[in-house]
Amino acid sequence: MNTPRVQARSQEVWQRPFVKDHQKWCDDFVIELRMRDVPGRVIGEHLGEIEAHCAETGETPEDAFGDPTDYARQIQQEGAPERVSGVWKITVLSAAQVLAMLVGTAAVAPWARGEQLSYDAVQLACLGLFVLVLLSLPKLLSPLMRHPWAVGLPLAALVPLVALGTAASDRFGLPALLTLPAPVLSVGLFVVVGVLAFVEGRELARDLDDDLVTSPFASAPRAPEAGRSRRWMAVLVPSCLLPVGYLVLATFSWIYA
Amino acid sequence: MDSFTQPSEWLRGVLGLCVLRIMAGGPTYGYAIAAELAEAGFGEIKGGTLYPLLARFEKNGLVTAEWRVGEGGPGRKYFTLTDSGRAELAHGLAQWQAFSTRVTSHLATGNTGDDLSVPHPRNFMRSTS
Repeated sequence: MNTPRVQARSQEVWQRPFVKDHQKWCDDFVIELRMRDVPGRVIGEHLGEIEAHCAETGETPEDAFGDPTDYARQIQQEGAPERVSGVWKITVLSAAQVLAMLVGTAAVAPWARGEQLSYDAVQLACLGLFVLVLLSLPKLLSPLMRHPWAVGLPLAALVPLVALGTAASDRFGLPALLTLPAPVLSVGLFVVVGVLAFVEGRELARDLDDDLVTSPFASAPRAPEAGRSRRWMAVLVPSCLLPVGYLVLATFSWIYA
Repeated sequence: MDSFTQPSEWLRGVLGLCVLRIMAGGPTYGYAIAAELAEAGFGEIKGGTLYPLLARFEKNGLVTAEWRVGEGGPGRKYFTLTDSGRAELAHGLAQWQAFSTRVTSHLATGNTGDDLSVPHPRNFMRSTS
């Protein structure tokens, strides 16, 4: 998804003085439309209308258009039905990778000990809870984007809680309800994470190249030279994060198994 | 009684028609439409009300839009009525005229100099057969 970037291209809306002067309002407006998968060019058109109107009336966007989120919803419902798949696709891909990493790295230690990966009732419940949170992401994503600390911290706290729950249940010696071959899971799920990361990287690259929030007022698009490498970092870092994390976790699990 | 006598409530129903009527005069842009509506006595129409309406017109093919360089401003998005837009305007005008005639006629019914602020009990005839 497009968010304000330091190395924005000249035609991107983030360089417009109007957008800089009303950054919070414009950010909220763009986020809401992005959440609704509205293409960057269409978002830029709407921001252009807002800028042109405010320039003529002397009003702030808040005065003329009200709450940015409400206005974004309204204009999206009335406007062109064009959509891109960006946000949801990347969210689903990331969530699937996290789940694969959770199960796959948990299988490394049993593999190192020559055992199978087994889940007891408590561990399965914890895993189920985690899957439930991942499935709720479509509902959670919007509040998460707007209140990253208030919503993100409890969600982030859930991960160590689930990990503690699964670790503590080991002490009770509960009977295994599900037993899986550890080597196959460890290697297989790493391949799954790698493939999903590749697809996510392609999606992010497409987003960077084709779906910028462009202003109708700015100069004609030109090939980006400066900042090209930094822009590619924005693709490589998020898409490589989970495969690398998988390897690191798996290595530690193997060493300390 | 505000909910019945508030002109802004009435305007909501016919704002689209009024905007189409303004655009029948030639290509125009958002702020000019708002200014013309204000000049016609409709009061201040906020951007948050006007632009979603224009977006709907564009989506439904009633207008085409094009950005032009602004005078002193960043630029202006000009809207031009299409043939479909003209047909919609003609249809809307006919409907509005029929409706407003009906309302005027209804409001004038029995208006024979009665004081409307005083209740007039209605006599319903009861069937005795």
